Amino acid sequence: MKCEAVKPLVAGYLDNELSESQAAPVRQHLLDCAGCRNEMQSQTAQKSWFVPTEPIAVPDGFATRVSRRAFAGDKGLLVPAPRQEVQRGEARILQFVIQMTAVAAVVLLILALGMKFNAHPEGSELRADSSDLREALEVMERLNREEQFQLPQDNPPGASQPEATQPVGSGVGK
Amino acid sequence: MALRLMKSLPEIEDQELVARTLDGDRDAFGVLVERYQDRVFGLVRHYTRNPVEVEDIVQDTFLKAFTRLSSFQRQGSFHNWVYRIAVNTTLDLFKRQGRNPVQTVEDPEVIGAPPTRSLMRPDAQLKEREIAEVTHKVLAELPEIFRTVLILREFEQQAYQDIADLLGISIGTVESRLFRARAKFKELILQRYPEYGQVE
Ligand SMILES: [Zn+2]
Repeated sequence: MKCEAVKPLVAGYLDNELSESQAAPVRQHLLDCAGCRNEMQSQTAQKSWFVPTEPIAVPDGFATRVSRRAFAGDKGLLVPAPRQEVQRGEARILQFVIQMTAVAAVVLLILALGMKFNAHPEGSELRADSSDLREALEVMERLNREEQFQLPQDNPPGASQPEATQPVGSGVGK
Repeated sequence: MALRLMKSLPEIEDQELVARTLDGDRDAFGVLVERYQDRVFGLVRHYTRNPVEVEDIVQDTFLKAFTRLSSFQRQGSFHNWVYRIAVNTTLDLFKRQGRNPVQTVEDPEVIGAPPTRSLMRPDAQLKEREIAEVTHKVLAELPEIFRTVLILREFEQQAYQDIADLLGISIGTVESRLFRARAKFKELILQRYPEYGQVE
């Protein structure tokens, strides 16, 4: 496979979206070609900005509460209903405000307790067939590291140009 | 409680729970919510950092799901269906609050020459939370359609086909949108944090 054919497939390869018959030659090419491996590396670097964050704890009893509300005909808070305009008289508005404050306080309390006690693990659900990809990526990472390590030796002594930081073999086809 | 009982019976399929809910079984819907609440909370918090708001949106998502339950297609996955409602609920809210200045109906073009610099990995010194903060800040500046494909793909690890189903677009559109979203993400993060750039 040529570099021009491989490069557009790198993203799909990393996303585990290629069929095995598509992925195999891409994988082989990446193992052989430092230039395409470099492209792959820059894409994996970008992916590593998307780290799994700490889970938000679901408040206790959330499901039961939502289910009860649903069956009571609640269509949701965020539906654009002119709630306050419907209220008549200050007493009713005040009552509404007090109720909402109480609800907010309870929600916060539940949330705080939930966060404290409900530190459940999350997000380790890799797709079943992704272990091959992970293994291949580890090998490629290692190749890249070795290459960077060897890089200074490839330069003639004394010739320290800025280009020396560029990866070797970029754009060189197979 | 009946709810606990049913949760311990994983063999009750989503379809069955949907059917029971439609027959008026409140516990069945509770089990459905419980089954997917973690994932929907996880999805929505990529759009807003405010935990109370996250809860409101997730609650609304399930309330909306309930009112539309009869339109749920039996052949589709409940997970995808509820994800779609969650994304739409979030975007509707933001639109109403005028919180998403970058509104785009068409896919925006990534203008200008492709950047010649690539993005480095986050500094090893950065804590995961700090990385997430930078990433979410940049995501919040992206046009909505770009933000959503990146969240679904990079955080939620959704397959292209699932993203396509969820957003009602073709796989080809998912691919091209992801491509442009990634380019735009890189461009923005390099503008804000040039120290993370390196010559390609
Ligand atoms: Zn190549």
